[in-house]
Amino acid sequence: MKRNSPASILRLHGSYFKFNLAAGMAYRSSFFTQVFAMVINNASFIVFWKVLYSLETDMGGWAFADVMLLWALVAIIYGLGEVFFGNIPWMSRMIIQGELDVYLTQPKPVALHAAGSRMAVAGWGDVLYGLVVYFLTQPVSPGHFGLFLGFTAVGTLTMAAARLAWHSLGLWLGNAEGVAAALDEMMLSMNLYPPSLFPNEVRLVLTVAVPSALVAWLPAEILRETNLPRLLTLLVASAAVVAAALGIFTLGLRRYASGNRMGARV
Amino acid sequence: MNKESESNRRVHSSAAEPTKVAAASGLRAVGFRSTSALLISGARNQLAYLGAFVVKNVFLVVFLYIFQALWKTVYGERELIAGITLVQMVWYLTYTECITIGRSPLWRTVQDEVRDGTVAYGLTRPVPYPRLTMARFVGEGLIRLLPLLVLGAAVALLAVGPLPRFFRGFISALPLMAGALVLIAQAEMLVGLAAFRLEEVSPVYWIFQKTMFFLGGLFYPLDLYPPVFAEVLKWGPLASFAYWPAHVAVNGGEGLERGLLNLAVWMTVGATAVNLAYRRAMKNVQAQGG
Repeated sequence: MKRNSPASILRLHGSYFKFNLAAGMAYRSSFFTQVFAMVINNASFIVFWKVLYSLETDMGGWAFADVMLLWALVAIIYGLGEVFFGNIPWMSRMIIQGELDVYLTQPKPVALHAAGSRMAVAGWGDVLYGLVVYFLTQPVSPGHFGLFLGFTAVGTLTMAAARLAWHSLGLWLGNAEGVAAALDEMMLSMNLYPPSLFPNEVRLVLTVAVPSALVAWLPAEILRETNLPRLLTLLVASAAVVAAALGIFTLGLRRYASGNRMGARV
Repeated sequence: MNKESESNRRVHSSAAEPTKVAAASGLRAVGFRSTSALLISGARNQLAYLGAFVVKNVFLVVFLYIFQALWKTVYGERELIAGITLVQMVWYLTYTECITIGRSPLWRTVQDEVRDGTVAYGLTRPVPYPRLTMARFVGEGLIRLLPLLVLGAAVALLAVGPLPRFFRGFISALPLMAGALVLIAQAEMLVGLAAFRLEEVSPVYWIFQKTMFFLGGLFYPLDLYPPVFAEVLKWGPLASFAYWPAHVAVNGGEGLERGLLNLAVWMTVGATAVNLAYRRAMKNVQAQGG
């Protein structure tokens, strides 16, 4: 087997997943408290939407169940990102502090290796919440659920790639921690509101700057009404985001100046 | 002998009383001076990084943009919802977001300092750890509030236009906004001190934060709830975190007395709770020299 073949990278991620989960479960009560609290944390927003829909039943063609579909998608996508690529939000800081050094000396692709080496256990709460909301608010059928799961997989890769891209900006611009945190916040916030609230120009800018449309807006629209050209657009655009993010990181890595930091990973 | 010694003791005791009173008032003066100095030091620290802070908080603009779009859709052709105009609603959210968005995560600082033992160093300092940490937090928060308000006001102006009786409302709400930062500091200190008992306090913080969002009036005014429920919430501590400062600001100063009363009551309760929690926590501190 080639050293950096897809199968070998998947095996590495599998091992990281197993060890990170075991590390999280070592503090079992803390693990379950975080998961349960995250479910309550997300569920509290139902109150917000209930209050809004009690005042206005039509949010530009998006009913309450449609907004919950957005929440289900985003919660699972964000949660899976935290579980499988939990180190991405830390990368802008790692770049400034020269902490990428330890990954450079190891024989695996740096971006994927660094991204997968941490798990945020609260992400499991997001995943659980997303599934519960989906089953409680959507017309469940095998086809619909299959498509929904497919979109969560594509969305996880797209969101993780977009976050990797702006957390790698530090390789180009110096300290980009603040900008990356703001973009993280923007992507998450925008995806949780129906796109019909925003004018077309704003939606276009958001799709290019932070791929909000690809993560939840387009998938939710396709789930509400199947549309093949849109599905193809989504898949092609998502692949382009992933490729662009890896390109930004790889090219940026050539500019990386080591922190000469002494460190060891065991 | 006994009597003499007893009278001596009494004399000593009465002679010592003025000294004790003087020492106590001296300590209070030092306490006040040191708290003000810490508050100013936190504010000056923050001034040095103000530019970076503003860039980092550009997402205030994003939040406000989303909220104004959302509420414009909800209002549609309506003039009033629960007695509130669209202009008041957008400015209300500007105030609540500005109060809460700029603050540093005090609970996390406390959690980290409990975990790594830094909190033990507080035992040797003349100012108690909670007062020191909270004064810095409030000082930083006050300085951060000003640029955020300018940024937020610009967004609100562009979105819905000027707020009637803006200056009267703004001036009246200033003490409530400062008080809200103190109250939030107390609440976050209590969350942080929970680290003495819990492995991870972030779940406690998430629940507190969301309670503040929806029962403290951060995401919308409490007036949108059924009247009895809304009235109960307005007397509660969470109302002073966001509702009262923003309500007073968008209503030209109306409700200031009630807001101040609510703030005073809950700040007193908060101070007592922090004091008790800290004393109790300190009994669990085990430190040795080095």
